[in-house]
Amino acid sequence: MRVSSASNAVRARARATATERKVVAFSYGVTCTDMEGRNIMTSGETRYDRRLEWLGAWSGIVWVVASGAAFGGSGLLPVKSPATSPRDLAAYLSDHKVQILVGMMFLLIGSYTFLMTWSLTFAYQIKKYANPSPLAFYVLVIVGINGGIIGMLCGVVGSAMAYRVDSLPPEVTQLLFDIIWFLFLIPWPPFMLWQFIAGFAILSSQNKQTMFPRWTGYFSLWAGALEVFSALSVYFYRGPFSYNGLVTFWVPGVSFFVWVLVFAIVQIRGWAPVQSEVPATVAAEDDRSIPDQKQAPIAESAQV
Amino acid sequence: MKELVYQRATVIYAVLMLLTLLAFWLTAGHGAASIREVQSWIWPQVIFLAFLKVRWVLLDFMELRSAPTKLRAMFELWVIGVGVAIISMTWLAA
Amino acid sequence: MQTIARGDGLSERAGRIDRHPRRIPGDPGIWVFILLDMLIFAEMFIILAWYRTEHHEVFEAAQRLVIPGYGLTYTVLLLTSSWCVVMAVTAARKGSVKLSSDFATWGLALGAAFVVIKLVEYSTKLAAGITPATNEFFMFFFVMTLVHLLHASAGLGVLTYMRRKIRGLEAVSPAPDAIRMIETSAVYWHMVDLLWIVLFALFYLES
Repeated sequence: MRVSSASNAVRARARATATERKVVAFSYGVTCTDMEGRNIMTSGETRYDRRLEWLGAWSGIVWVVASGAAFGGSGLLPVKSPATSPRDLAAYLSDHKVQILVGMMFLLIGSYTFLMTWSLTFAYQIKKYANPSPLAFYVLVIVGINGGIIGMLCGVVGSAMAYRVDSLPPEVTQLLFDIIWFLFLIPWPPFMLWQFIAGFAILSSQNKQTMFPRWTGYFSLWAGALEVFSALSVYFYRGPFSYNGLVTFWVPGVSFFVWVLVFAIVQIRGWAPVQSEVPATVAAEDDRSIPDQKQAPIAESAQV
Repeated sequence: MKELVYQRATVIYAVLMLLTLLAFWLTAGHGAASIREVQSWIWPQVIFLAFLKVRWVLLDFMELRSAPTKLRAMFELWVIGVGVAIISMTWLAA
Repeated sequence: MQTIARGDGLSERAGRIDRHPRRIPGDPGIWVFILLDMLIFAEMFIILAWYRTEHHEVFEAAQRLVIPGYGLTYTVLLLTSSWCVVMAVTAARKGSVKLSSDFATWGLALGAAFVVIKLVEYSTKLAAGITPATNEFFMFFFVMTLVHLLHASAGLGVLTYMRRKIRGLEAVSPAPDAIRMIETSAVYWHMVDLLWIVLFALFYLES
């Protein structure tokens, strides 16, 4: 096995003329070819990276399970209406104090670790399999990290609320309760951006649809469009558009979970078929209009 | 141009416009009063007409009529299910 | 029952040549979007219907403040706009690029008129002191028509994209991929139209 070192774009291109080896031009990292010139590792990656990529897809499932269990098992669902009297709310939360604290712990483990790993893997895979745009990649990374932080904040506020529920005035407890759901709902813009950028990347013509078929792009756009409902929560104290509402809570809430779940499943099921693929590169510009069906992976020679 | 306009979709468009005017007449135009309709039956009829229109848009504008049966069936079910659900709320909720 | 593709573009089914093979209009993935979005609107429609019956007097009184003429205008605009888009798609398939582009422009213009008049209606209501907080009818009225308006506004972008695709067609033999994206855009716009048809019946037609 021959390994060339990084920053080899020029050398890699020069070697491309050799007939016995195909070399992949890449925007970062290392090529690994065996003696017959077969590319045994996708550009820039080590075996560890591949393992992490596989685990990263699975971490989406872990997040869905952990956060779903956290919210569901904590007694916080169905969410109490904002119109609940502070005393009743404080009494309910006090009764479920330990449940809430345990649930918040799982939320923190889920969101602050597994959502992070999933979203970074997602960004990496969008870049690798859908569209190699570096800018889209950076945006996806940033909003992905942001997603984890929002979950973390929900967990911390929820824990503090349950921790002091017996000594604080009920109105203050209610405010903390409000804050959990506002954190969950109203920072929706970067989540919409996340889903739109991913959706448009998947629908772009560079997507060879080996990992992300076109329907997932439309699905992502749909999920992004729904985020806007969250904005309604601050204007209403009861009914379907308040923070516990059938529309304002359940539509963006469920759709975000479903979005992560569906993509994690797509990534897991798409793992085996992409093993032989050579990833798209920034240099590879093709102006194919939308392909009809999956195309065979294209081995690209270095651009000169 | 003529061959373009003389197609099923244009006929459907005319029908949709007529149904729109009919529904408008029944309600805002007080047509229902003039034909002595029962007050509580007007709304279900208006909803029914609306979903009839929706079905035509699905089948002829969005071309589901010539689409694979499973896809068409999903949307026919939406029309029936949602239409029935809305109309039956009149009795279920009270 | 299997549909077998033949070499000449037709297909065989149960031994007979299928002269009108069933095809999915546009990019198949758009139907995932359409179905899911229609389910969300269905949820809102049904919740509204429930509230309407639960709070019938409030709804009846509030509905009198809605001017049906606006609703009729919107419906006529969107229906005509959808018809123009159907014409545009048919013309594009036939290769009449100029005609197709003109129909697309009309569709876009009528859609834009919808958006503008809607903003006028909102401002008259707000100026009269009627807001989403006024009562439950107006809560649904503003929220649901606003969500629809956002879809329609996005639809103007989609129609612009569609028109760009049309203008990029070769006059003689349209590229199938471009046609598919033109159809996909049209399907989205028709969804905007059909959702409006239901909203018109729910909010503008008092009984």
